[in-house]
Amino acid sequence: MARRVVITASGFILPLGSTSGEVLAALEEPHGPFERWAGDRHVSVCPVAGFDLRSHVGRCKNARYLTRGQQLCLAAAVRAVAEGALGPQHLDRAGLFLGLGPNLQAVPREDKALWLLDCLPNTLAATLAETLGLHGENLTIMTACAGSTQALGQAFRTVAAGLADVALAGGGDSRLSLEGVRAYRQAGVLATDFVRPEEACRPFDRDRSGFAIGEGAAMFVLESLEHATARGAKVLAEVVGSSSSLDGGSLTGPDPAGTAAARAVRQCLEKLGTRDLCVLAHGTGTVLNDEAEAAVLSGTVPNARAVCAFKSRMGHLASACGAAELAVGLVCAEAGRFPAIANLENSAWPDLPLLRRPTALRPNNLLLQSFGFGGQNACLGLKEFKTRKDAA
Amino acid sequence: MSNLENITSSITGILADILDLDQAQITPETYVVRDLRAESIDLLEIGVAMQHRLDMEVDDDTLFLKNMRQVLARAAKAGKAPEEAMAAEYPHLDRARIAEILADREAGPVIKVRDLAAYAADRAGEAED
Repeated sequence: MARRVVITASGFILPLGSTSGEVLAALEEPHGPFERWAGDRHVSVCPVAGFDLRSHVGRCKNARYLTRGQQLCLAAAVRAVAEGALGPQHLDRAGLFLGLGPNLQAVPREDKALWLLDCLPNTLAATLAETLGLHGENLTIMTACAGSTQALGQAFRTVAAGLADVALAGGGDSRLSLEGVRAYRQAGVLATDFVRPEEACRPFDRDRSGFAIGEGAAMFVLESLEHATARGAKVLAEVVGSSSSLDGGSLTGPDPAGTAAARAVRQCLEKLGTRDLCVLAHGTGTVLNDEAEAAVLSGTVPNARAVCAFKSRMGHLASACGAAELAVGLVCAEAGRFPAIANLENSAWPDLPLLRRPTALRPNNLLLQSFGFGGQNACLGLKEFKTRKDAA
Repeated sequence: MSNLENITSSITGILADILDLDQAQITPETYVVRDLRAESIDLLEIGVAMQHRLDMEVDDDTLFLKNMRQVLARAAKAGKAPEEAMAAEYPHLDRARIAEILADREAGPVIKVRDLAAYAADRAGEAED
């Protein structure tokens, strides 16, 4: 029988902050800390202010081969391990599951012998293995904006199957570079029609026009319940399901009917149920993505307690969005308070339970959904942790 | 600043970048491997960076004294003085430094920042000739 899997720690570095207190304070504001991109004033971005890798990990010569997103992920992983109080005895066989994006700045270079390492997807995994002494099951998953959600799912399955007692999972990404911004700009997915940058991203609003670019990282410690209990670890939530699917349609836009995405959602709901459910929606604020996601929500969880869209508050963190939104979701669940979807003034879907105002809420169930480029869908189902005795 | 000082400053800058260290902590007498803990991957990068920033051809084997053991073993076999063999193989090192290296080599990798600077100064001098 599959083992129960719990999350016992998180480490995150987000535009909203890197502690629960900072994130909660930021969520009290009507808007996220967006600004105009210096390199292109028509683009709204949400950066991590003052990030300094050394302050988190000390000297790190491998950093020269890591993107900013990967450096954020490295720092988040170190924070998660510290938060989880994991020692070498836990880490030696621990798994590592990363959702990462491409290095859009990697080019052949005369002045760098190993520029190849800039391009290889597992350079961060190798660095983390060295930094933290992790030597177990691992995967680096680069499935666009579904990457970190899928990484969490694979970590869950690995621990549930008994292939590891502990796994570190999540992701980090930043597209706040000339190349990254240009790529999104040319793909036509950014909100450009805005007066103030904090009003650019408007998930599920009638006047939405695209997303704003965020950056950051979130990493989690997943453990078998036995392992967590034996070492007296605090449990943040129980992971009960994970799923992924492919639209098989356009390389960029989602399948308008959302058939495969809905299948991924239902697969998680089998374990989760639909009662007392809070959905952490992908909610990018692009015209097509929200439309497809609304169709999925209507067809699967029309009676959810609440649907949140954290991209309205910290931008789109690309491959790291799922992990980042889960981090924020767990902070909100613990505090018992969820923020309104920012800029949702005229809902395009008034029948959906989109969160319009800050709400006191302690949901039993959380559904995280990520729907990326390539029709790449991933979901994760989480429950408030209860021992069997509590549940009975 | 003399040419050697300029070269030394460039090299400590390269080492600081590649090894993620504070440049002010690196002096000509600093051991590259023993003190700065440079690994083979770092030596590869240091060689390429010197080539690029100092605009010179760099032979890693000579720069990092990679074949020193073999050079000394061959000399011993041929009944040749180790000092002579070293001077022939590493013309950028002066006699005093060679004597120091031979006395020091049991304690670990001998290469110092000043050896990299001597190599670069030698190459620069050759280019001028």
